[in-house]
Amino acid sequence: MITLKDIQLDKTRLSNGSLLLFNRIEGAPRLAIYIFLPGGNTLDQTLGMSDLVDRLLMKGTKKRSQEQLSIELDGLTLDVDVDTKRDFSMIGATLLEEDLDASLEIISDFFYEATFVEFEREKQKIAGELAMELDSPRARSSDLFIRTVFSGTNYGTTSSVFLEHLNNLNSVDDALAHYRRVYQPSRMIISVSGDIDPKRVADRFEHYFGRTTGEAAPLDPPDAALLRQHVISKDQYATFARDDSNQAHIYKGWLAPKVEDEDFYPMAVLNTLLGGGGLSSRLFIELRDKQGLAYHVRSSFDAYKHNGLFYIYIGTEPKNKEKCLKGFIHECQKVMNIPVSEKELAETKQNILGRRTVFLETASQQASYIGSNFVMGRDLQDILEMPARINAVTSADLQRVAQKYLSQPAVISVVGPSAIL
Amino acid sequence: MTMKRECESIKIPYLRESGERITYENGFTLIFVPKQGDVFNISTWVKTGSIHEDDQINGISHFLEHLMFKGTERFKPGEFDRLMESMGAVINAATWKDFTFYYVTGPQGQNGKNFDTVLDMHADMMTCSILPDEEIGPQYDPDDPGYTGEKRERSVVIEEIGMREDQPWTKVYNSLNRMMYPEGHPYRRDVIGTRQIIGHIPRETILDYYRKWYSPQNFTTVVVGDFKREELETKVLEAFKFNGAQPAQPLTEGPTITSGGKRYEEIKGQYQTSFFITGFHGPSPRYFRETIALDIISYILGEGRSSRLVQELTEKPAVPVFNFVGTGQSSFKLGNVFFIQGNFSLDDPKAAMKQVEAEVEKLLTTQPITEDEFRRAVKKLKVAFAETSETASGIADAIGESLTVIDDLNYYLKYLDVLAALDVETVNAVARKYLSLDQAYTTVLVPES
Repeated sequence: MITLKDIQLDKTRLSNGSLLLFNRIEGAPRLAIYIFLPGGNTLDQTLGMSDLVDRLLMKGTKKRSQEQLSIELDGLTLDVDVDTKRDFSMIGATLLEEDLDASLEIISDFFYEATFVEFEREKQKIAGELAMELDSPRARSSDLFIRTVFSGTNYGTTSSVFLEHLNNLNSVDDALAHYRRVYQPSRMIISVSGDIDPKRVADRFEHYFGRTTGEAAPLDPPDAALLRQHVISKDQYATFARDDSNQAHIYKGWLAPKVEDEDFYPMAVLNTLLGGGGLSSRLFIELRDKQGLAYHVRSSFDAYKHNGLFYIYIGTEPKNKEKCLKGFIHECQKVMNIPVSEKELAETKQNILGRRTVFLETASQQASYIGSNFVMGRDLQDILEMPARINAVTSADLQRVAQKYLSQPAVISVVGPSAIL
Repeated sequence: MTMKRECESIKIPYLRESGERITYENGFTLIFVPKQGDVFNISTWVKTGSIHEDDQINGISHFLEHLMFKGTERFKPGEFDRLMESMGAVINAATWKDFTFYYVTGPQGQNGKNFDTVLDMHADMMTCSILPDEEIGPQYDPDDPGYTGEKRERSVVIEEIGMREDQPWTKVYNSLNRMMYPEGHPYRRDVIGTRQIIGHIPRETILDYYRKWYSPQNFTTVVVGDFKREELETKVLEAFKFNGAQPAQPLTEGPTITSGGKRYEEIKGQYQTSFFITGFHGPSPRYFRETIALDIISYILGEGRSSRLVQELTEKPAVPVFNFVGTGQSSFKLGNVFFIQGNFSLDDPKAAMKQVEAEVEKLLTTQPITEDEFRRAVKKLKVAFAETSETASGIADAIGESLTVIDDLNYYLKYLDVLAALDVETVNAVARKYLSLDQAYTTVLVPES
């Protein structure tokens, strides 16, 4: 079994210019294929367009109806996932090697030849699904938080924003034009992991994905400056009343380093220390173990191409709202003002590095990890150097990034009974 | 420690090397699965859950699971979490109707050193937890808005109850269980218990429960990873220090479930959409053929992209009513449950449910499962089974559940053989036996206005 520390990445350019990355894992029972296209939500001229296009990809091609596609995908036991994130779109699939040709043929069919014939019906389905998702108080609070943080930018495309813009997405021609602009074969970064001959991988991908689409219109680049310059200019407090809710679902967050920022690694360590590291993180110990305020409390650090976000979530009895918010402030001030001990720092770093091994056990996890790093602008060297970069973070770095980012204006969202909002 | 033992070599599906099942004279079962790679898993499954509770102690299994992380004579509260996570291990536990289990999935580390520490602490936690009073926190009335006293783990569980109650699926599921099981049946209650019970249950009751159920006879420990077998067994036996208490025997039969009674219920909530679950009593999980046949039926009816409910209710209608629909089977010691769940946007819940029932009816009468559907489903289940073999935790979970819920490791070891021996006629007969609509129970959570 080859593991990530021994990674040997074969890099190949297909004849259309797309990048194929292959990582061999001996003994892996299935192959994992991830196709990344840079841009994601940032390319949307109408908010939600990329998400709509994702949904339409597998709803019929020139050769196959939606139902035929579904039957054939199931016949191949092909788990396909199509998703758009803030900075990229992705098609992911796991399959048996014996089904490689049939699987690539069908994926390339909807990659190149989707017809979007289900346009109106799919929009109706999406409206229902988003309403269902937003029926969860926690999902509603998360949605409210992100759309407030990134208000006015494409990074703020949440489920509720998508729902509100669904009626503006009324032209199948616009959707098809977006699809042709974004799903250009030359823009693909393909990441494959599994136990298969590398030459066969390159040969089969060249066969099914080597061609260009010819008529593709040039891609308008995202307004990177707008995303990079976006700031939270003052503290904001957003609420949504759910009088039947047993808990207050509270998010609080600040803008944070983007992927390529030198503060990325210190912020990643800070997040693990504060609330991203599991049962031993500071917020967990203080707010859950010592004060019994919550079952679920954690922090997250999401670094994007052009900006970043650090946030804390807690679900608590509504009357505890202020106590929790004070707890957040207390823990943030502690890390700003008191240097983290060498022992705690070393344990936090090892937490990150050990988990990386645990969460890269399968071909699917490895292919996804490698491809997502490349689409965000990193390369193999960055992946291999990641442990060293984590280990280089100092206590002073943590204090510096905490002071730099957590002292800025913040967004708080609360969903719960109206009496406490 | 020397103990009489029975040792059996077991062929683990999709792995090159055989594993071993060792049963000791005190009843403790150790399963060792050699698997190359950088990741190991150690899990201990305990044969208790809400199945052994009553109305006075409902939720005690789950509360105990929380308290098991609160220290031993050797390790202070929080030390287990800190040491495990400082090596990058993922730790957690879960409680359900028939089982409670604790696991650590970790990186081997240099020279495989991490495992020794993990084993030592995991075994100590399983056998020597002290459930400190100060970690449990004082008893209090969680519905008293004036309570200002100390809050510790008792309150964490009360918060977890609140969190679960905020999830629409939990509301529907709990309501369904109250319909499907008679008064006094252990599956009728929610595993997590109630706010009042958790607020008041004394430490002594929890400690008694721990002593009663956490015994070698009720433990199965599964170790998956790249280890030498002989060394591993010695280390495991040294680490698990059982105190010799006489254990309780797990329940194997429940109160008889009689047909009749209420079979459809609507509950209301502040939602925009409606959530439903329909449940059917299934076979004992010890009936492998029928259980696996229902897995096939589930895939054909509502799991696959091309499945009937997905196609007919969400993909094909000109004006879709259903936002989501799916099926599944839950394995329980006292009888499986086959369920259909979904979400819809329609003011008339009964009309929506008629669409679901029509698809089930077609399956049982005019449109039984075809050979094509059957072949696709069998292949899918084979691949899904292979998927569990890709990770140390996947293998450990499958073995632990097989031995704890089904009480028979052969369910896991022979799953692929049983699957291969099924045919479409048998599967259709199983569908007719268990999915009769006059045996269905349905709860729908509908918007208040």
